Amino acid sequence: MESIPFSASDLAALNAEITLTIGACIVLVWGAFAERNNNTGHRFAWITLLTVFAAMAGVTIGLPALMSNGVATAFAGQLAVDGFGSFFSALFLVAAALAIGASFRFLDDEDAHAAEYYFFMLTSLVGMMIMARAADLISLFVGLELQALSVYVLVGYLKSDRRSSEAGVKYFILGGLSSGVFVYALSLIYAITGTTNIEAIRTSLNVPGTTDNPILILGLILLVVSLAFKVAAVPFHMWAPDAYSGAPTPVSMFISVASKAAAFAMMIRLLFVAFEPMTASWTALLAVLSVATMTFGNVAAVTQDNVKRMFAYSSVAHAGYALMGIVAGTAYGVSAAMYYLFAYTFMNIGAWAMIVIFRREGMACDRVEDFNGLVHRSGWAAAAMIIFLLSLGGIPPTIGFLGKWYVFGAAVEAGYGWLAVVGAINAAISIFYYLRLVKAMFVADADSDVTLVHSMPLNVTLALSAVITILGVIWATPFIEWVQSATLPF
Amino acid sequence: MEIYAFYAIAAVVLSSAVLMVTSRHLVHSVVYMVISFVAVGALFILLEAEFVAAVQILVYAGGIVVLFLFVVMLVNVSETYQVEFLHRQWLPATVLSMILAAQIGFLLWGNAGGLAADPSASGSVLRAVEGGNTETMGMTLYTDYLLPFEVASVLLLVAMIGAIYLSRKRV
Repeated sequence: MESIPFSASDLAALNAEITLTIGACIVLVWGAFAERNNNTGHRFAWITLLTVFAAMAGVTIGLPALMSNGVATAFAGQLAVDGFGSFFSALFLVAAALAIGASFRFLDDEDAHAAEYYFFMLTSLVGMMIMARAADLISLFVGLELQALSVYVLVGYLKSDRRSSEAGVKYFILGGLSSGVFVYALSLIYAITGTTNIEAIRTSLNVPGTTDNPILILGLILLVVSLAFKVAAVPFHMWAPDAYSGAPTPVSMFISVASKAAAFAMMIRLLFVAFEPMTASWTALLAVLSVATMTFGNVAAVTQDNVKRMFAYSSVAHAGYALMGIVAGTAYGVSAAMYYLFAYTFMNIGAWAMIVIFRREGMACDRVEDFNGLVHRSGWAAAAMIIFLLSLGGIPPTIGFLGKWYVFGAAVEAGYGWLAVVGAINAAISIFYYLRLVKAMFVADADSDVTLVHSMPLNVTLALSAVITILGVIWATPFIEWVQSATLPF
Repeated sequence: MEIYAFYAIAAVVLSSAVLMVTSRHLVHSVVYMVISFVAVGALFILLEAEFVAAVQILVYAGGIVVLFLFVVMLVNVSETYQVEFLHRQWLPATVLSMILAAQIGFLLWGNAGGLAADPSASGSVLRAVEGGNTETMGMTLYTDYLLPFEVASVLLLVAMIGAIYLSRKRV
């Protein structure tokens, strides 16, 4: 009526999300009309990759320019324009690009539709970026649901595979339940503070006496429970092993990294900004969750014979390490958790990408024995896998080691020395099951039924992940400086 | 005057809700549910929240009930006809109802639980706006909440495409 309710700087702040949405619509509409054969499938993968790169340029070039002009929020305070949001957006986009590399050949081999697959991947990216950047509970929730709905479909994407469908349904039901708990917690918080703006909630909680309110405390507990669901922290992790092991492998690698990082981003912003006045309460809750998550995840992973389930439990355990940085409750702790998620992205994607390589009689296969004798068949693949496993186990010289060093240091500095000890014991347990794979690759004889399915994009994913896992140690400073500057708003 | 209208409508809401749960015939249940929904819509009009009233009638009494009737028609009614009134879930249902009742009681009598005093809750602010609260709501939705509104439209697209993809037979 009076004028357009947004400005050019609002649109500039949202440029990456807009790019991704347009890319998603192009893929969807083109997919509806295209003849179906392998070449069209690859065409959609390239469009998606191009869209992701364009969005990456928007995040790494466009947003800093906007920030240097003094823009802090956009869309009437709904969207935060800060280094924290940009860091996580870039992380999601990198994870998506690497996962797309692993998807090219995989979708051909599984004879699955490509257009919708990449559509859901792009829309889930939009949701994740909104989750990491929302400055208001309403936008945050809508972003969370956009991410979640896209990912449910991706997990159940292989309709002819019963495990995939089962995983999709389980993830959908438990994810829906946890979203219900989440929005209930938000409603209780709104009832007490009278605002949905994350910054305004902090102001409202700083009023003396507010934080003793039993309804608010119930809201905080439910909030932590639902966030624990989303990051798959024990005892709210039960969906994760089924979802990760049943999902198509490139989807498992994508969601075990990107969805988890998005949930962490949301957790950090809610706890460190909105609930900053109640830091003592939630650090106590999260310390318990962190110990349970690390210990249960690692112990459960030891007993698995299926590699996908093993890595699913291992990713549960890694959420426990990242939680340690948040438990510290300091800006240093947040930067440690963020660096851990950064390191985890590359080493975990690399490890999952190795599973995509193995096929038995045309079917995807994922048992520990399938890795037997890998070193005799492909020395490069075995070398890359060793790099990823060392990094996941936290052994130098890898970024996984730096990440663990960083979170343990943050925990010790904040007075949680015992938590760092538990973490170190857990790292030792985890080496036990990672070494099982190393032993299979080197000691055992190869099984001739298993074929290695390489493709150029998959090799690029593997090579990039391996190179960053190693070089990230040599050139560690820029990454650490980036992470620390991204934590500045807290 | 308003208070009598409230009691009359509240009586309709409650009695039709009880009848919906107790009636043995599925279609009767659905009809009682419609009556309950429409009466809740009337309560909203009494509060001068005409937008919420319209949404209540359109979405609940309209859309949701049609969905229920579809399900009733699709399942074999004669089999579900004889369901026990107190089935296996009575215990968890009772516990949850008690918790809900305790929460409502706490809010009503426990000093309103320290709820934030929101001046617009009294309706006086909204009533003052020319064109009533529907226009206020629209203005707010398309200005302050433009971003979540747009993201929600992508969300609905994803939900639709997802449902079509998953339910479509092999192509």
